[in-house]
Formats: sequence, C-alpha cells, structure tokens
Amino acid sequence: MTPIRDTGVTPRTGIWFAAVFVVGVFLVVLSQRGVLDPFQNLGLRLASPFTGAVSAIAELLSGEDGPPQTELEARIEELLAEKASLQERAGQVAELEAMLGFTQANPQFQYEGASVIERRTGNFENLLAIDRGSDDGIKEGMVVLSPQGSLAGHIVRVFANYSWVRLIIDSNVAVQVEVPTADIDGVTASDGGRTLTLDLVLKNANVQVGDEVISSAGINFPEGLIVGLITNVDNSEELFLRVTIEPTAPLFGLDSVLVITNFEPDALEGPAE
Amino acid sequence: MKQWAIAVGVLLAVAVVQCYALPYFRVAGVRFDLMMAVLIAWAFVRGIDEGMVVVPLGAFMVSFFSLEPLGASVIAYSPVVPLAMVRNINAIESELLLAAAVALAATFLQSILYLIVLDGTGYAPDWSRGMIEVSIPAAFMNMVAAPLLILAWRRAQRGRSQTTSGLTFTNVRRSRGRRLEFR
Repeated sequence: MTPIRDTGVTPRTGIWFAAVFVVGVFLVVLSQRGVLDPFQNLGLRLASPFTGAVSAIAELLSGEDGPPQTELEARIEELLAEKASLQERAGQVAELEAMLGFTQANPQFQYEGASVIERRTGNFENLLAIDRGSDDGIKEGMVVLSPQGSLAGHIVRVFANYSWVRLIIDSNVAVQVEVPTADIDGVTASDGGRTLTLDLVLKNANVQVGDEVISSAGINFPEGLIVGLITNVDNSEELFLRVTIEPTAPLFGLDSVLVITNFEPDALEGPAE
Repeated sequence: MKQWAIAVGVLLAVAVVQCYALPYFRVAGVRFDLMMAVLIAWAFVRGIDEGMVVVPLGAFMVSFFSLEPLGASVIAYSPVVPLAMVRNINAIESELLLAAAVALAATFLQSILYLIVLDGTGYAPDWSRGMIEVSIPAAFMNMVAAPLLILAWRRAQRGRSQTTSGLTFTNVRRSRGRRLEFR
C-alpha cells in the first residue's frame, strides 16, 4: 500500500484505526446500557482467584508485610496476627455499634449494611466494591456512609450481588457542602490525594481550621451529613480562600459501610426554552 | 496459533498486573501504564501487523479489568499503531529515541481520548488534573519504559537467534559436504 505523504501511515492503517474506533465506541455504548455487565461480571468472577492473588502479592511487595525468618519471629507474627484478629473483631463490633447508633439517631433514612470487598484506585478513580447489589435493592446513585455516618461516596455501578462505590475524594465526585459555623457553602473538588478542597471562598469568610463541613441540599446527596473537617485555610490568593477538608470517613480503612436505600439523586430537567 | 496463544497470555498477565498490582507502586502519584509500554514495544519489535492485533486486544483486557466504560481503553490506546508506523519514515536514526517520542505522543493522545470518553459517558472528569497531574508523569514514565522494553526484547531476540545459529552451525558441521550458511 502507498504511504500517505511519506508519513509511513498507509490507508490500511486508516481503515484499521476507524474500525477500532467504531468497535470501541460500540463497546462503550453497550457497556453504558448494561448489556455487557453479565459477561463482565462472569469474567471478573472467574478471574477473581488469580487477580486476588496478584493483589495480595503486590500488597506484600509494596512493604506492608514480610515473611517470618526465624521460629521466634514466626511466633511473634502468630501472636501479632492473633492480636490483629481480636482487634479486627473489636473493630467490627465497634463499627456495628456505631452503625446501630447512627441508624437509630437518624431514622429518616433506611439503611443497608455492607462489607467492603475490594478497593480500586486508578489514575482517574477512587472506588470501593461492596458485597451488596441489585438483589439487595441497591441502585445507582444511592449514598454510602461510613459506619459512623460520615459521607463516603455514592453507588456508581450495580451488579447482582455487588456494587461499586465512587468515593468523595474521586475527582469525578463533587459534593455540595456548607460550613455551618462560618455560614458559607460551596462545592468540593478532589485535590488528587486524600483530601478535598473548597475553592472560591470569599476572603472575609470566617472559616477556621477544625470547622465541621456538612453536605447541603443538593441533587446527589442528602443534606446534613458530615463530610469532613477543615485542616487548612490558604489565604495566599488575592480574593479567595482555598480551604482543605479532610474527610471524616476513614476512606482508605473502611471495612463496612451503610447504604442509604431511600435516597436517590434527582434527575434535573433542562431549563425551559 | 501457538504464538497467538502466548500473545493472549502475555497481554492478559500485563492487564492483570496493571490493574491489580501496579496501583500499589505509584510513582509521583501515578500508576505506571505497563500496557502502553508493552504495546509500543510490541509494535516496534514485532511489527505493525502484529501491533494491529495486540493493541486492541491488550486495550480491551485493560478495559475489562478496570471499572471504566468497557471499550474506553480500546479507543484510548488506538493511536499507538498509527504513531508506531512513523518509524517507517526513518526520520530519526535511533529507534529508542523514536520509541520515546511515540510513547510521549501516545500517552497524551491516550489521556485526551480517555477523558473524552469519560466526559461523554457522564463521568465529568477533572481535565486539568487529568492532563497535568496524570498525563505528564505517565508520559515521562512511558518515555523511559518503552525504549527499555524494546532494548530488552531485542537483546532477548538476539540471544535466542545466536543460540539458534549455534545449533544450526553444529548441525551443519555434522552433515558433511554441505555449505555453512551461518557464522
């Protein structure tokens, strides 16, 4: 085939590129309509022993754990594991107590408890998988809380028996919030790390480090949920303050969560012409 | 057929490592895009014809194991093939330098296409963060990784062909009266 203007790219490459692009778009459309979900669900389930092992090895290699070298060290590790198990059980009991306390104090919502089964942090995403899905009444858009009732995220993808939660620190999530003590509101944005930022806060606003930030009336989240605490107020800009918020929910250490099942986001209609 | 089975196995392993292991080893807050480096190296070492098969296949596997709209990576990785074809024009003598340039361009195009797909499917990604905090470190990582992979692959090939030549040489020596074709 003749190259196009000596770039080395042949018409065959153009046809290939167009074909791959069309197939890609077709797959995206099918995926968005949920047509491919059963197929993907089955594939991920079949691969889960292998993928789980790869994750476990990577976790080990990344420095969080190490093999025992001597008998004494093995014994120490055994005891530490026992202690960790007891602590985990105590933690689970504490989480369940916290859940119970929160649900009893906030009877306006209906809840479904769930365990975290996987964490996924990519370049563009911060997600959790929980062990409740459409069979348990979970729907996209439902709000997810930590056991203590702090806002953690919302459901973005639902399968029969598990769902994916997009965390509030994900760059694709914005939460409408207010700082009651300073009487200001705004929309949070992810700073790409473990905290949130609130930009364009007027310089004369009386925000202080330690102030509590809660969700305000919006379409995606119910109002009054604790989002986080202010950890930094940057006044280096001329007109506005940049406020850093640390989420109160332990997003990287969650073992169980609460899903609010009687709140679904409103779908706004476009403005009238 | 056996070669393609090996190719599928390799791509599957790369996709699983990329999605399940590499998030634990971030550099500058970014997960290394091993699949991109492998696909570029593949297109350079094994040729464009193989690249045309392995690029969509590898991209689909990454898409499958990530929680993204299935097919987003197929679109995002597709510029690798036309970009890798640029090596045919021999504009730069050094193959490794060219691979680095292709890795740079492919990573930026990948990020743009990926963000367009996410935008189009209602994910509303943060474009400025995506381009500045993700694409730039990822592009530099791929610029280093793709040429290194090519170098390693070529060396492995050379080693294998030398071994093969040696065996043939022995075989040829054993068969008397035949001309030696390998040195």
